Amino acid sequence: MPQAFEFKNLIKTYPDFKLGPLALDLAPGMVLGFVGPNGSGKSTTMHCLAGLVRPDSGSMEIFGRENDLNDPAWKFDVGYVGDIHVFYEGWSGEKNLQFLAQFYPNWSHEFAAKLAQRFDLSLKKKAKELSTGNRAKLAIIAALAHAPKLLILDEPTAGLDPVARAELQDVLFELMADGERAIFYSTHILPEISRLADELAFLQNGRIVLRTAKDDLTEKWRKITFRLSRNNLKFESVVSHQREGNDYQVISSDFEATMRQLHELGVENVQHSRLSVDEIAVQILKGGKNVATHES
Amino acid sequence: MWQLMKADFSYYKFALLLGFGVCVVMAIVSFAWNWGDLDTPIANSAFSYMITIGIIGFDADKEKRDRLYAVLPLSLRDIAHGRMFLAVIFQLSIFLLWLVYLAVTRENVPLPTVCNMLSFSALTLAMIMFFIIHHDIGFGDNKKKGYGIYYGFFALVIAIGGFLYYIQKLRAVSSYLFITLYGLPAGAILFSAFALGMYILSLTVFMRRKSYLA
Repeated sequence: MPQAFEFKNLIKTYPDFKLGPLALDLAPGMVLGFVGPNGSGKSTTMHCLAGLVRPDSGSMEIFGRENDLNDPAWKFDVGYVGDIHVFYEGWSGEKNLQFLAQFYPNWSHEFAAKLAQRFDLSLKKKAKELSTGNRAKLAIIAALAHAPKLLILDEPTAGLDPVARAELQDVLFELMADGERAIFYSTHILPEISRLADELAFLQNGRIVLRTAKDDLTEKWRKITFRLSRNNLKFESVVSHQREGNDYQVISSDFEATMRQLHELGVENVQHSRLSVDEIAVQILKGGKNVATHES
Repeated sequence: MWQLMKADFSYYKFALLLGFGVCVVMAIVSFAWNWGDLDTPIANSAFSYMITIGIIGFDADKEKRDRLYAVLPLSLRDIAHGRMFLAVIFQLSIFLLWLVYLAVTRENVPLPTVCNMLSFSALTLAMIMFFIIHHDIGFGDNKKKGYGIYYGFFALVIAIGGFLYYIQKLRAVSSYLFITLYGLPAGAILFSAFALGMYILSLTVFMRRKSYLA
């Protein structure tokens, strides 16, 4: 079965920024959280994947089809919510959806109306009269109503109120139930994706620094405190540490490996606790020196 | 592609009707005041056309229409044709209006007049294409190089023309081009071919854009 998307050696260069070379893929049925600080290249990656920007080099496939801009069959499988939302501004939400519906044989007006109801969005208002949050809701409905197999969501909750955010999460959960769809979800707000994502890819300065299963991440990364009277030690898989006298507090990216070493060293008063995905992301993106890198 | 054309036509129908309405009013005024000539309605409708298409183009750019289209399951070629539709159909409508005006005001429609109209329409369309190409080069592979080649070509033509005029050789040629040839079938074909060339160039430049974000 082909991957929901797969790109190899993707490179896009701007005068002040270079994305890649990147290699990334996503299997159907999975949600990949694409995490990185502002300006790390998340939107550029998604623009390339959605066909809005032509990369300098590299290959991209969506469900086994090359994302050729002159052979757009692959676009039927894609729903895209961008970093800005574009409509016919003088038309109502309903008319904008009717316009889009013409292009997709799978479009469901019923589903679109249901989503609008769930998001508490009036489709009668003109697009230019909608608030930022309501524009995002309309863009999300537009991206979902043709039942795409791959959803590319570029910070889709920007501007959404907490209720709409929760509703979006629920809708995405429901969509994923059939196991055939995939979601590529970019954000710099980790709690937003931590419930939904199966995997996380961390992007920094245009490069993927780590790609891992979310559960592995929360399982392996721990905060460990202990007492040790020896100096100048190098700890296994420790990405950061603080010391006050003989009391240490370290953050480990491989809990078991660090603990093995600590036991061998005979440390005392060992305590450990899990980190939130958000805390782990901060460590990764701060460039913790022992983070296992996934060079792409 | 047809969906884009239909949508654009529907979205801008008031602007188009207003622009076309101005042309009709000018034609009626010209006829009613017994001016009889075709130059006045042609000149007025050219102004109306440029202003209307300019406003529509500005609005579509402001609303990032290319970005909206680029994620739709359409080929770039279809999008490129679709976004030209209004400019072409509006000019065609004006041309038909002139034909009606001629039919009403003249017993016989002289061929040179029709050729004049065709040549003028073709050049007007070519001018719109000129601006569209300028816009799309800005999203191309190498903006500086693109503009350099584009404007370099026109600058070269103007420079050669200026030189030939200076040495007395082009005066006859320019008089032939813009007075005689303009009203000949060969001229109408030549100017139409030029407009078609600009149209094809605009399709090519659009399809080679590096970004459809705006």
